Amino acid sequence: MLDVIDLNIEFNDHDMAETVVYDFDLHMEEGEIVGLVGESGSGKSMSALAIAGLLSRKDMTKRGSILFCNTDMLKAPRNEIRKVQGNDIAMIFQEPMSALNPLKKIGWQVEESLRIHKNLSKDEMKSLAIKMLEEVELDDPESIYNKYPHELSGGMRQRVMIASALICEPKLLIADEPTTALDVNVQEQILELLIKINKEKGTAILFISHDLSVVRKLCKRVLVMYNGRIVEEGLTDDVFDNPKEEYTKTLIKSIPTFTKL
Amino acid sequence: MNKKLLSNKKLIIGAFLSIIFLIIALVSLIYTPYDPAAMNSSDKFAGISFKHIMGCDNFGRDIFSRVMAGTKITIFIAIGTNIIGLFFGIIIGALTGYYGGILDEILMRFNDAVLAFPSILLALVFLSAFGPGQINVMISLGIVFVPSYARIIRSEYLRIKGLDYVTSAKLMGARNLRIITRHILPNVFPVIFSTVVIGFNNAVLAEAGLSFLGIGVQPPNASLGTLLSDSQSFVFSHPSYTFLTGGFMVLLIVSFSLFSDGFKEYINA
Repeated sequence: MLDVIDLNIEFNDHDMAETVVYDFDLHMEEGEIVGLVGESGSGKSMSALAIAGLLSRKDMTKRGSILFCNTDMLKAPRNEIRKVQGNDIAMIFQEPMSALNPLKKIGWQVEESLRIHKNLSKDEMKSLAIKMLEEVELDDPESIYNKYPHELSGGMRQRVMIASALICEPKLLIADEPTTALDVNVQEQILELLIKINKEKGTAILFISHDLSVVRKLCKRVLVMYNGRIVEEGLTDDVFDNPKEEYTKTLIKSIPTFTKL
Repeated sequence: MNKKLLSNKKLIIGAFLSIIFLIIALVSLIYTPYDPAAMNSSDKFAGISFKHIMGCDNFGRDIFSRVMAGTKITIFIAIGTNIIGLFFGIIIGALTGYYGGILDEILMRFNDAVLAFPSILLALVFLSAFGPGQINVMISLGIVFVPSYARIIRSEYLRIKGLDYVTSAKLMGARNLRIITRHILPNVFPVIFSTVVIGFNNAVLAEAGLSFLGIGVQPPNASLGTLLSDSQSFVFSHPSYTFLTGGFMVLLIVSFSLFSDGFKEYINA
């Protein structure tokens, strides 16, 4: 479904060209959950934005190809990419506080993808939106539909984000550190929700995180990025149990455990 | 929420007075005590009385009726000026702020050039090209107002376009036009509103200035600025004429300023 081949991203906005992603390769099947881990600045978010077709800045050089369901997200014209975005590919962000438009009602924001891609009546959209809010396990979706983002807690907003990302039933959901800004309890619930959605709808998830314990819980396969390169790749258990690269070892060592205390 | 509103004295007093002025302007559309343009030589310089609560001018016209009609014209021009300024300000500000690049450079340098002139001087230049009259005052001031509005709106677009919810909208496959109008514009409104209230004051003052110079609103129509200009010849012989019309204009500007100040505090609090 998704084939990223030799993706290179280079910034040209300074005197010296600066490469932030080197030879990034990724293959994802439908319904798969893949983890992408690495420290801040390792290029994981850049790669994700490229896959989502959001790197449109002119002062960048992008090489390689990103084939998503036969659309090249790097080279296709914006019109074609737009048809894929929101419809087949969706993304949720780290900060649920800023990822929702503060002046629009929740209902409006959840329906936005439908409004852009499908031609539905108001009532159809509303019933779909409410069904979706129910699916992300929000209590009383009818009243939440008419609320504004500031009336909801962080965890609820992240659920709303997920609802609005999934309303067109995309094939791929890119989750860019969706749990980082949440407290541990809510983190757990959001992870379970993502697993449930993956099972029920078969949505593939590219899960980006620097939290290895979360990745271990969620992903079968994992990629480790360091300094713009993929340094290790494989089944999560293999990578965690006998890491080959030095960097991965340090990364795994940094997971806090009770035995250390 | 209501407590915040009620404790904001500036906002309440400002809003109350502004509404009174708006009502005066609206009433003058259908009723003034006398015809503002009707001359009556027997009432020439009539003093303040129950018949003429602000007295009469050198042609025996009822000053209060003229002030009412003048308020109407002044507010009409101020509103029109802001509509023109905002309309083009939003278009230019949104496009330059959202797209950036070469378009931004060109329009903003042009903007800087226009901003470098004193606004009243620029309005004078436009007015002398268009010729006097209230519609032309409105258009000239409107054009002069565009750059400052464009600048403010551009900076808001610059700030908001980097926020996650705009990225999120892009990712949903929204067209740029849709993002500019449906996702970002509503979030610019608070800033637009407080700018407009201040712009309204500036328009009232600028119009008064132009009319005072004699190239603004032309007789028999009168704005508050024309009235002030007419009255200056009699400032020593009949000071009440000048003080009443001038005082009326000051009160109008003070009340709108109070309102805009209070509104800003209300939004930011």
